[in-house]
Amino acid sequence: MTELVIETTDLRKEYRSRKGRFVAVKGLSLEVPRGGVHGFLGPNGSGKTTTIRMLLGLARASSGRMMLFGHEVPKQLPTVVRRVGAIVEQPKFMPGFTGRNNLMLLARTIGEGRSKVDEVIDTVGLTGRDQDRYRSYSLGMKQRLAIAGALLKDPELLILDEPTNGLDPSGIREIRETIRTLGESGVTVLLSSHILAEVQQVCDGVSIIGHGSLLASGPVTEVVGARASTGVRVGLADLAAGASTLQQAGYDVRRETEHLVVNSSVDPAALTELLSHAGLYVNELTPVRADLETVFLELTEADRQETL
Amino acid sequence: MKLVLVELTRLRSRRAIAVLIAGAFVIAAILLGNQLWSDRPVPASELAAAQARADREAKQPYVAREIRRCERNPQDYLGPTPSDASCAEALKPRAEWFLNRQPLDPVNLSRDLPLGIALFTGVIAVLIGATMIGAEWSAGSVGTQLLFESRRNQVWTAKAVAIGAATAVLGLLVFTLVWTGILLAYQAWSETPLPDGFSRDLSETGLRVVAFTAVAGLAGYAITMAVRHTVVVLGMMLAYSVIGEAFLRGFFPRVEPWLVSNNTFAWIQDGYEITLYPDQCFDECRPTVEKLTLLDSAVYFGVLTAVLLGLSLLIFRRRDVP
Repeated sequence: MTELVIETTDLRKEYRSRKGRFVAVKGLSLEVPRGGVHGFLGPNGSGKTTTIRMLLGLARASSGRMMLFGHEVPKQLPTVVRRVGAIVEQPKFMPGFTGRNNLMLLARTIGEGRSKVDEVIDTVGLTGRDQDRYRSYSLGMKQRLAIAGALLKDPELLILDEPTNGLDPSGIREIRETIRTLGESGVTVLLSSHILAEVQQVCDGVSIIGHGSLLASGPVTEVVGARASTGVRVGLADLAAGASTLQQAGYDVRRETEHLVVNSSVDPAALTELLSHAGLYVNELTPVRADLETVFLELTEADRQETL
Repeated sequence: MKLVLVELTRLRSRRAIAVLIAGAFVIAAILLGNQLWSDRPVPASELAAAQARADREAKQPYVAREIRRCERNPQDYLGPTPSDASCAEALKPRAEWFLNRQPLDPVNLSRDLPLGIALFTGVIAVLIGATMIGAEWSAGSVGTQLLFESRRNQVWTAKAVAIGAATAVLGLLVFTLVWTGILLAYQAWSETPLPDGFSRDLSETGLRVVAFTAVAGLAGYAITMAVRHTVVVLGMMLAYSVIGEAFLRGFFPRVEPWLVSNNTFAWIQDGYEITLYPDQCFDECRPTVEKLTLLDSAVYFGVLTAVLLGLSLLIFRRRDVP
């Protein structure tokens, strides 16, 4: 049986204000297995950050259960907090302190010293800028400092909430490489991100949530394969005749503005032969690959429609 | 202990707090300098001129007349419980009456000067307590700290201990600085020994100033931890001191024993008398005098601090942290 590092059951978070009640997380049951990089996806306001904040003891759950490494949190959070590194939303450090001083204070909290701080500063590439005040850092440097802070604990679980927000392309690539390396080194990474291509590139597993509920979860290939159709895009001069010919031959065809999409797997040679026999000549034949973005948009759009 | 040391380092690293502490020492130095300047020794020539004037005045007929009246009704001149001093001794013009400053008198100063020290160190302690934690809420770093130490009780307590200790040390240093200056100057300028028990009384007063400063720091911390904004706390402090007490005095005269200012006087000065006027006067208005004892003020500040700290901890434990 797969060991779970994160497990939530019927997790719920309600906010009460003068305007009324707002349910941010609605009965979320989430499972993140040990090892690898696990994507945590959802549109803005879907409850990703709230879920992470509840797991880390920063927010109280209204109901439901949460486990980290098999320990119930927040009750047993002090037992496991040393094993969890996290960045929640944007990095939060004292702006008037140097990057190094900010890390030293955190390191001393967990009984670590200067050598550990040197090590993590080197890991994230902040050597040389560590004595500058945090307020003078660029967004990318702030993110890297936050990652350095998370690495101070040599975590077994790293929770990263939008770690590439505000980074330039090279910064995004660096962070992606760091995440991939950490995942390969045995650290379990929970990566919450909006950037679906990034998640698909680095994640082994994924959970997609919408309006505080789990919509899909599992290995990326399974989630994508199970929900998004694959096929072939066919370009023709006469789309109507092409669609008719293919349908008569038993293909599942969808007509789009400038081409046809033949769903399910097809043999391109057989398809071109069939069309050429009917006097229709193919000017485009492109495989349509299902991707995480398609699945995400399908799921969240369906969820949005249901909510409306 | 580890967390307390971390909090002390955090406190020491804050520039605003360094500025506040430096400000406290500057104010203390100004207070001391002003006191020593105004009570500096009188030059011999000025003293001789004053003595000559006192001798001249002593020969004026009005002096002899007043002495005779005093001897007939000593209570009118020497108070309800006349001391051993005779009317002649009390009423005969003396040289110091004709000097424009008094010699340095630590005994006399030991009543009002500690109050002045307590008031400004208290205000600075509130600012230290408030700005220390207010800046952390503003930067959001409390959340980051909780990712490393999730036990909120421990985090809250470590910060409280650090602020309480730092402000107590500040109070001690300021009090010691001012009084060391006063006593050294007195030693240099006067040959009259200080009365027995003066050192003990002064030490006790000093301890009360230290305790008051620490309580002020803790109060600033507790309120800011609850409301999470330094500016709100400063606004509350300003509103209370500028209009709050005046409003309460104006509309609820019976509230006097419960005012922070009166309890501060009682705590620092080992008791304080409050004059209470009746709400309505018919024939004559006879005020009553109520004594706030040291114990009264100790209980008042003890309960007030415990309530503030308790509420602050409760709120910190229960509220979500951004």
